[in-house]
Amino acid sequence: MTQKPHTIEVGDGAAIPLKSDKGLFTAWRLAFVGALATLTWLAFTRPDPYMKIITFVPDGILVTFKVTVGAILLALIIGLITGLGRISSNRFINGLASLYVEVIRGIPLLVQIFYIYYALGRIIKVPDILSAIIAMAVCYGAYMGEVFRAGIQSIPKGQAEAALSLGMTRSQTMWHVILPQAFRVVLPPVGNEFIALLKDSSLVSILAVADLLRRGREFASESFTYFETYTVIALIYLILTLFFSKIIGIMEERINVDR
Amino acid sequence: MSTGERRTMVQARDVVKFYGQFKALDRVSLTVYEGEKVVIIGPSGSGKSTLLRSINRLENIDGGSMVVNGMDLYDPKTDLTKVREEVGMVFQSFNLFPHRTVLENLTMAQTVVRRRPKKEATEKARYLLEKVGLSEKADAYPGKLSGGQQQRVAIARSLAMDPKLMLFDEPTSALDPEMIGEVLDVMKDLAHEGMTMVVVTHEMGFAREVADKVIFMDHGAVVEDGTPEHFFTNPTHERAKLFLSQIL
Amino acid sequence: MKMKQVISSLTLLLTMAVAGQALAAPKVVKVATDATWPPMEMVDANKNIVGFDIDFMKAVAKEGGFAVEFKNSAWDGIFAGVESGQYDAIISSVTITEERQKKYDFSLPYLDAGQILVVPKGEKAGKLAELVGKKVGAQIGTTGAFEVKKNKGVELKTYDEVGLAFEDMVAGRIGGVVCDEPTAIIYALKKKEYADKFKIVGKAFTKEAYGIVVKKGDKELLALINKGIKAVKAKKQDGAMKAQWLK
Repeated sequence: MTQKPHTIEVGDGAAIPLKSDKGLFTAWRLAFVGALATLTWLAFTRPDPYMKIITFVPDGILVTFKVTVGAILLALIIGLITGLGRISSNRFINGLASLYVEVIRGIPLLVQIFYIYYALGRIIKVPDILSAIIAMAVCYGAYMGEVFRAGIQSIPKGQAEAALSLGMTRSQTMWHVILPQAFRVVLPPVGNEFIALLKDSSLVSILAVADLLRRGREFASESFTYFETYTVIALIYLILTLFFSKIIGIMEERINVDR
Repeated sequence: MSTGERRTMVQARDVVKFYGQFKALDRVSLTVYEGEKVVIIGPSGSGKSTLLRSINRLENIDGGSMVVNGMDLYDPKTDLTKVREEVGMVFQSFNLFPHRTVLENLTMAQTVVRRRPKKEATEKARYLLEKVGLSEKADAYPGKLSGGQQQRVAIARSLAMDPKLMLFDEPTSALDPEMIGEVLDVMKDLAHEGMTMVVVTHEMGFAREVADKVIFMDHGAVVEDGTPEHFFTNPTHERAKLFLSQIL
Repeated sequence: MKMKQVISSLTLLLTMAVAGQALAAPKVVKVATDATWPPMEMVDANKNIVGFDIDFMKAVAKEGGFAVEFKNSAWDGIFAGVESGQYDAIISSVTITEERQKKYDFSLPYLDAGQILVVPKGEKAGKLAELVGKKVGAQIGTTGAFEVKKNKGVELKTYDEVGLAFEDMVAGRIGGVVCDEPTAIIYALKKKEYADKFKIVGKAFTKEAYGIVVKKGDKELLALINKGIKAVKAKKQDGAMKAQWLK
């Protein structure tokens, strides 16, 4: 009897192409190559405004990247703590974690971002990009918490029993036996969340954080080339999400190879 | 046989366990002496696994007392992990850690719980793997092993902790028939070395050959308690007779 | 037979009604405004769009002989809307610039304005150029934002609404805000929660004029609007509006 890793179904989020999924893999190639080709073609055939736009926004891509990576790392930590809290037998901790998840899930992301950004500004004067990262992480931490909870609960009970019967404490069991296995199970949904976060990070442009979208909006509002600018912005976002979903797909395949 | 001077490893008194309304254990008492091999048999749902699992408190009991290796499991001062360090357990479904190699399965608790240096733990692990005949699988992941091999690794993993008592919860029930023998052989070797063992099993041949004492359970209660000769040749209770007639 | 009569008379009635309405009712002009720019255009406690521009546009419409319907629209993209025909005109403190004139048609200028710098109370800088190394906020795509950009070493931070820039200045994330003078007065001097935190630096440092925007080539509407503006100015109706909104 081999123990197969359980998988978690997560509804939304970007599709992650695996080599085994032929349809999606082909679609990925088509979209990625198509987007790159379109962008290049536009830049060389109509340098004004396309080349101008492409040279205007790179620092915005960097900010988008910073916000996404920062938020996902922080969200992973918050999510792990929340997930552990949600399965805790301690009523207070469990209640607190559940309350956090319920409250966050009940408020639109955009509203939370506004709220946390300006609340942080009023209370502890946190710089803008960090505020944006915290705002995104607080939100995604709740979703991540549910992913971790599901991941931990997907590990068969016998694993914990085996560890406990060897004399391990509960925390040793969690740390050495349950979490390493759970991490593997949560990787695909965490990958999904990462892509979703990359896209949702465009919401921080509302906070005057100079991300990819805001750089585009700035360019458009000055040059009045709305259609052209948003074409470029959309293509860049598409290339970014496709690129990262591919990387996540490769990571997933690596992990699924043996064991 | 005189048991007066022998240490008592397990002392269960009037143990009661409920699953909701269902009474899984009904005033069960059990004494296991050091070096003794006790085999618990009975139809499914008779409470034999529940009794076994309550010995290292994987199951909480609702009444009675349980003293293992001199430690009262329900004394708030008792450190449960200290009890479990001394009590090995082998499961029906092996429960090897799939994310670790066979060798790491054997060294993990040694280093984490016993705080042995890595070198010492590895030596011990290799010795035990050789003992169960799986030296060449040390660096494999459990998923690549057959069921019989996995169960032998699981036994070695428990032995790595130098337990004073070994619990076996239907160790061969999930195995293909041709693999049962290799696991039973390892268990027999262990018995001959003098390990204290409590075994829940349907393997009557094993019970007959190895057991000092056979316990027959039905409906959460101990129905028969005696030597294998007595149990297999002349059971007193009707239900035991019926069970034997079905299984033999 | 009777049915036929009923239908034909109904059709006649309907045709007359439609035709009559077209003749009687004046042309309705949809005008976009970004009502986050007090006192020029804003939303009052009763959710009505009010302000100098609103009153002025109503007066122009009256004189020009058309009806007006306001549409609150985010500044970022307000020009794109007139281009795509979502509305016919913009009155939203739009400064007439060469760049904008290339893309859109402007009415006659109807009000003079200028950009001004607002800073936290403790700030010693006497002008925008002295805020080198700091971030200065402005609404995205405004002449204020363009002015900040002209200063090397001053980092521009753009906001969807100027109010958010002032809030960020409270949080210490930016060291100044550049916007139109009347708006600066509202935020720096008249808003209770900000009056003790901000101050205005010097005088307006640009000379600008506001105009009403229409789609490039919409001569007919432009003529109506210009006719209205001329009439309003001739009758000095805007004096009272200035007194009401800009003092």
